[in-house]
Amino acid sequence: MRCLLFLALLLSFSFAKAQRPFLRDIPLTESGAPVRVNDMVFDATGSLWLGTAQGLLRYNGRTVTEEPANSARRPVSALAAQGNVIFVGFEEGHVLVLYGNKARRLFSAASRITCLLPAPFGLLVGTAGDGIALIRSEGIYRLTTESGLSDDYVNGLALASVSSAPEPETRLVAATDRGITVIRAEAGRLRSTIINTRNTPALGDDIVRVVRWQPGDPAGFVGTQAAGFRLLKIGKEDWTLTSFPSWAGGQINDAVLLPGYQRFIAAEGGLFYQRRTGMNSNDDPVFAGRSVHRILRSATGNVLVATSEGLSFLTAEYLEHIDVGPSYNLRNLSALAADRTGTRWFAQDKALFSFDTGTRARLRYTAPESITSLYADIHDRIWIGTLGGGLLCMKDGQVHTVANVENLRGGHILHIAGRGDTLWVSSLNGVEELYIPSAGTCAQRALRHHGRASGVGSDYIYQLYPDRRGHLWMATDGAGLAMWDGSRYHRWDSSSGFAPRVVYSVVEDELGNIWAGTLENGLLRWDGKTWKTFRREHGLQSNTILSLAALRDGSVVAVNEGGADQWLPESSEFRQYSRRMGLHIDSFSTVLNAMVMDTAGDVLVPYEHGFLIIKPAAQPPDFGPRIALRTVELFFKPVDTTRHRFAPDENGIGFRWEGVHFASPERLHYRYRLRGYGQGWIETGDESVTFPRLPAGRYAFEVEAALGPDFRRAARASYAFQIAAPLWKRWWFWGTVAVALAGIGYALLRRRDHARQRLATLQQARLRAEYEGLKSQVNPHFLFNSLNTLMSLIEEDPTAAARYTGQLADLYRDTLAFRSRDVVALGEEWAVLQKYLYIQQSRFGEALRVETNFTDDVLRDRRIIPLALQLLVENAIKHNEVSRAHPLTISITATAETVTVRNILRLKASPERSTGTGLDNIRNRYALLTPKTISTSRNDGKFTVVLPLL
Amino acid sequence: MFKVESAQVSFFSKAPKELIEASSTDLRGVLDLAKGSFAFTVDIATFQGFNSPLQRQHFNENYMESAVHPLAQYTGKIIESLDLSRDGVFPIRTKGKFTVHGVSIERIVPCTVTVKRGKVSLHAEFIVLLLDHRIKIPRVVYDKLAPEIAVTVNATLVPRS
Repeated sequence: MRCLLFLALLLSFSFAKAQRPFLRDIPLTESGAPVRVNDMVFDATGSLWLGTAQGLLRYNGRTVTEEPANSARRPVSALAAQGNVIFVGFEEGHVLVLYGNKARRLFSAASRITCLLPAPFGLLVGTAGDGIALIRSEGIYRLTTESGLSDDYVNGLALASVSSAPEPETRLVAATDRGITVIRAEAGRLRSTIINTRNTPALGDDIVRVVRWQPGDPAGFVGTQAAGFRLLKIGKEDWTLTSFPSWAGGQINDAVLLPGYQRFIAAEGGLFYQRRTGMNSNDDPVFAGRSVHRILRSATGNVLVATSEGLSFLTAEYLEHIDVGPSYNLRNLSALAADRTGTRWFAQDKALFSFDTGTRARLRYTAPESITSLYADIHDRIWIGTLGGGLLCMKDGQVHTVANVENLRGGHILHIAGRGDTLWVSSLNGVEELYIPSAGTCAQRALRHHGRASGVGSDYIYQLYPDRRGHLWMATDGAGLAMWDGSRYHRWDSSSGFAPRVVYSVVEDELGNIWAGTLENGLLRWDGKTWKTFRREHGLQSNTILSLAALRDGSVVAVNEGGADQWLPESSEFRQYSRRMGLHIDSFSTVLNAMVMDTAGDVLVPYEHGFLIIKPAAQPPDFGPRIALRTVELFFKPVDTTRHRFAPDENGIGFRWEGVHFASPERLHYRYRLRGYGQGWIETGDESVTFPRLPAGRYAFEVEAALGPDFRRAARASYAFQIAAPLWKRWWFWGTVAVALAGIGYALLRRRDHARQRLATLQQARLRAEYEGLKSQVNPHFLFNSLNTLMSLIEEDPTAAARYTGQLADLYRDTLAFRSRDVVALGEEWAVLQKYLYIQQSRFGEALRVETNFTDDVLRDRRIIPLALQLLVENAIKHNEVSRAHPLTISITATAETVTVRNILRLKASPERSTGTGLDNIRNRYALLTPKTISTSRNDGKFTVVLPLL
Repeated sequence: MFKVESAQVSFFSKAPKELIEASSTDLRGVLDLAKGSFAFTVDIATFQGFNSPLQRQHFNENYMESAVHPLAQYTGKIIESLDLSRDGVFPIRTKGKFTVHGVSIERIVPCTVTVKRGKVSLHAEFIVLLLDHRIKIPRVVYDKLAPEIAVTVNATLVPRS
């Protein structure tokens, strides 16, 4: 008894503490040294950007990174986000826009940037002394006191919706040091209205620090420097202000408004929050002693708080706790109940206590045996189940023993449940259904017995749960789950394919699904047709569920020994409450079904250090993870992410991504694949991958983040790119090469054939010339004449005869020597011709005259085809009369270009038979060698042949 | 347009081991009621009344570095509208740039303006945190110099001709 008193005393002290949210500081620096956070904003992928006194930081739920865009660590005073674009305002007075890995300066002012507001018509910038700037693509517009602003020191900006306007209308609202300015655009002009303490005394203070309009909310939030906050409703021409008189929190800096009039207010004196039960600014603030600059609600329902000391978060929206102090432990709390007045009852061994929020726990009763279960009915009776002492009933402080039901007398009670006038009590002998009249006494009457004998399958019922349709659900030991619909039993056990034999608890959620918590078989959900099982791989911390509760927001809380999991229907994920949250939530009660929902809809879960209070969310949390591809790397160097094409040798592509989750970052799983590379999903714990030698082709890199290994609800980021094929791997290149080669080959062949043909013709012509030459020289006439001449010479002048014979031999040798040559120098040809002429003149004497006119230069430098002159001279002698009476004169003259052979025409009366090939042969040979042509003419009794020189 | 006619600026440092008190009458300044703006300046070196001449030397040379940062300044605007043509006591707030030791911070300083038979006087009390102005306290004198200095300003203003 003494011990119990001591215990009660201990509890009394501890329970004086109010219900508080959990809060945790997030270290921003390596050393954990405080950093003043001025502003923060979420980007499109859910990362939190922080504008601090030491520059720009980013937080993804696990790590804080310094943003390279502000490597100079200049103090950031304002931030805003619009899609993927981040706007950064600096204390020095300029505004930067960040897009991907690019940064650009947008604007510069002489004073600090106080706030940034991206609006559909441009970016609005508030400054500390230079009014408002509107930045549009075509230019910057200024709004100052001269153009109607209440003061040039702007503290905050908001876009407000006009209440009671038939069409949606928006106003720009500026909070300044001298009141509020409401600005509207009208017929292309700005019209401003000033709200200050002179025209609206209810404002209370002219220094207005913050204005916030929630989309769809008729009234906006106005926070002042010295007079707390107001609600401002803006009409088409007028406005109404609602004031809240008492405020002791100091200067207001920010507010987050949640549905149901829940709001968080950031002030110089700390963070204040208004619960649905009503604002009480005299409550101790959270973070007292720190100046709170900015608050944001994360998608998972945490409230992020930027303070003069750094970044913190607060679980106020979904989770609070009542701390019982470190010297006490609620793990052996055995039963818990809440009555209709909001008073909570709990039992610890034989002692029964009650407490209200903010009050001390009171010892109300000490039972003869250990208390195992509690139930508070709607008529203020507390039904107490004991271990060996049967069922007790407490009414107005008086305790009665239920003695008239045979099965309960002195029994071991496992669970008590009720609905309306019906009470169900589970003991080792099965379930007794009792009628409890509303008369307000502890009187009751046994109605029915449920148990093995009646068809439940087991007499050992861990939990009884009457659902909204009036069906009684029974969680049994050994026989699965049973349900009494008022006329018959429905059973789910091994015979009907229901795996769990032991069901500890059962509950109906807001949507009408039945949930069953089992021993080692996880959590099951019955939608009326099928059972769906959730186990560890789906996000549960344990497959053994000790207690279940359903919240008004549709969520279901499942408690295990080490923590609790909350099923969030909108996100289809479990939120885990565990020691990993860093909130000192360690061990939970090991007692089955020691959990209760109070009249406010909050669920109380006892854990080692006190009670967790899980609250229905004002706004369903978005618990899905996010993922962002941070960098694309080419050979380990970041490239512009808007680039999607790479050259053939740029084939080492790497990716860095980042999963974002603020509640359970440790649960993030990643997998990636490279489409186009013939690769399936690859799971990884890393946040980067490199593909070192990618062949040319089109690829799409995809990476997913999920909260569990099943990737059921995964967030995905992707990046498509292309590596160009090398030149020698493209079809058109080969096509071009083939066509070019064919062309060249054809041309070469043509040329070769042509040359060969010409050569052949030339050869032929040359041979023919040679033949003609030789033929003429072995012509019987020529030989006969030559030999006759020689004979007469031998007689007359033996010396001349010898010379003649020499010349004749030379002539034949030279003719033969010329046969392999296409062209000869004119001098060489002349030399041969002289020998020929010597022979002929020896025969004809004075009757054959040859006149020549050419210079040595021409003889040496110009060339002619061999035997051409000889053929012409031979023709002249052959066709013309050569006699003393009519001597034949042949003139050979050469210029630099031509050689001309001319003779007087006196044809023989009986011409020698001519083959007619001499002249044609010369013509053909010239044609093969040169485009120049030979010309022949016959006039003035002269025959002239002009040969071009080469 | 008003200017300071006479004034006294005092500060108190209440450290565990030592109480330091000094004051200066060298406050200069103007108040422009039409614009609602003001500017006040005091020369640090003019503070008198330390516990010892050595202490005064330390104050000027070690803490305030008055050779480098000779002036303390407060310039800004008056939030509440002020009408000095009638007698009365007007509590007002001033907001502006407060510069000490070369470090400017933005402050809101409450102030009481009293008009009595046409004579305008103002009174203000505020705290200066040494940390805010990067005034370093040597470890040796940690318990002799308080981290918070209480400042009191009393001034009478006359219309500027």
